[in-house]
Amino acid sequence: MYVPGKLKEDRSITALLPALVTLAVFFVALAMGGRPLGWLVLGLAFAFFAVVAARSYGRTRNAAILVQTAYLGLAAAWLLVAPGSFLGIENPRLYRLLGACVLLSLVWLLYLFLGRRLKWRGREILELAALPVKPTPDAFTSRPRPAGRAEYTRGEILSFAELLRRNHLAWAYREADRVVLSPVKAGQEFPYLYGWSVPDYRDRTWVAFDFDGNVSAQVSREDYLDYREELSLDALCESLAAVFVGFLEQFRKGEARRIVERLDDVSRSPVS
Amino acid sequence: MDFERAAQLGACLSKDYAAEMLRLLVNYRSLSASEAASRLDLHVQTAQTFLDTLASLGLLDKEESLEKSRPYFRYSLKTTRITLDLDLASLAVDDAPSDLGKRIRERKNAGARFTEARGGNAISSVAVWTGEGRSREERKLTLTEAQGAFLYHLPFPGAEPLSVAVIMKKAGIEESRAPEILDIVARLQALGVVEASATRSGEAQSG
Repeated sequence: MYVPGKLKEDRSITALLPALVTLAVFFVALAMGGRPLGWLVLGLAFAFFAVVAARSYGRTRNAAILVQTAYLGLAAAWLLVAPGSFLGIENPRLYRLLGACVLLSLVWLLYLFLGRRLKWRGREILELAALPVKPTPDAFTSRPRPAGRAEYTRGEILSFAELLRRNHLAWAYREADRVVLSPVKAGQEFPYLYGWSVPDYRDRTWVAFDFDGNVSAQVSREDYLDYREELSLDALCESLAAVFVGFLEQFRKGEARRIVERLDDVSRSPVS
Repeated sequence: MDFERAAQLGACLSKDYAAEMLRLLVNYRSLSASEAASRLDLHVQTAQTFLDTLASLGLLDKEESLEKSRPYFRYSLKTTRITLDLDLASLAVDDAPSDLGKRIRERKNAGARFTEARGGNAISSVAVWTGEGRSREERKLTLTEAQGAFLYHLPFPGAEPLSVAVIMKKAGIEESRAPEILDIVARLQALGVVEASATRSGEAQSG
């Protein structure tokens, strides 16, 4: 199904920044100290990213991150113990075995990456929300909007929130009497995964489900302005809440897989 | 007694020299502003203003005297008992059906900052910038529980306006809270956060 995009194109290079910085540092080290120093710096960078990735797994429990961590860790080891580097080992068989493991984990990681298992799906959710909303001149307000009621139990909504976070659909905030789900766009996940603390949701886009069945939604100014045309904010908030309520109903029917498939119909790009 | 007169009387009685001034008035048959000022070590204008205010409230008699070179006024007590009787019901907001039928929504580009209440489903405060230039300042209105629920259900700027009664019903607010709802609506209208449109016939009743 072809879905015409209502969001502006994502031209952000935030997701590439860690790789670009690592490459730059690697080439500087290579120029200054030759291959041993270059390999050491690159190996340490991979080791650092492996630790950071492992930490992010603790926040999302997304299994694909474990593969990413394994690849980064193995690649770090492979670079650090490369023959001729500072920490090099003189055991070609072990080194080749390590290289094979790195290759295997890289192929696995690429498979997951192309299957959008690591991608944050905020853009797709915002596209889905905008589908039924017609362009109308409107004005922004920072107020949340009540979006009706839905059927669910406390346990169901907590499990649903966990599912969304694990699949990188939305960040879940559990409060005393409600759960707030904030969709995170690809390229904006770094503070959530690696920051000292998770960003506050109040100025962001979110849908809240309280434990009495009330649903409310808010669209952030940043996300509202990210649409190509001016949309009715009222209808957009209502539609956003309806998207999440629809996901919840699919989850309750045991069709959680269909949620991801529905998002895949919106965009097949693994990066934006 | 209406509120303005009660406020004047209250302001007079709150002066730190009020008790001494009233003591003089009780003990003297009549008193001029100059005589009162010299006894209480006040400026004569201060004593004059105090006595004039009590006279305008009907508590003192004010008579012109010509016995000195220049005419002046003498004041005497009309009563030795002051009763402050204020009907607070007169301050109540008029919650006539026409006010509850007023169709409202948030004004476009009002620039108001709404803070969501803890636990959601209500607004806890609204902040608006008022004034121009150096006198520009942020005005923050803290809301009652009912007002917060009401504003949470207020239609968005581009949405169809709804009557106050309908919004109250959506927010689950009792009719007895109508005066405080109408009060915040009026204040937010004055601050340019809420706009009203013509009443749609029958909506107030349906709400």
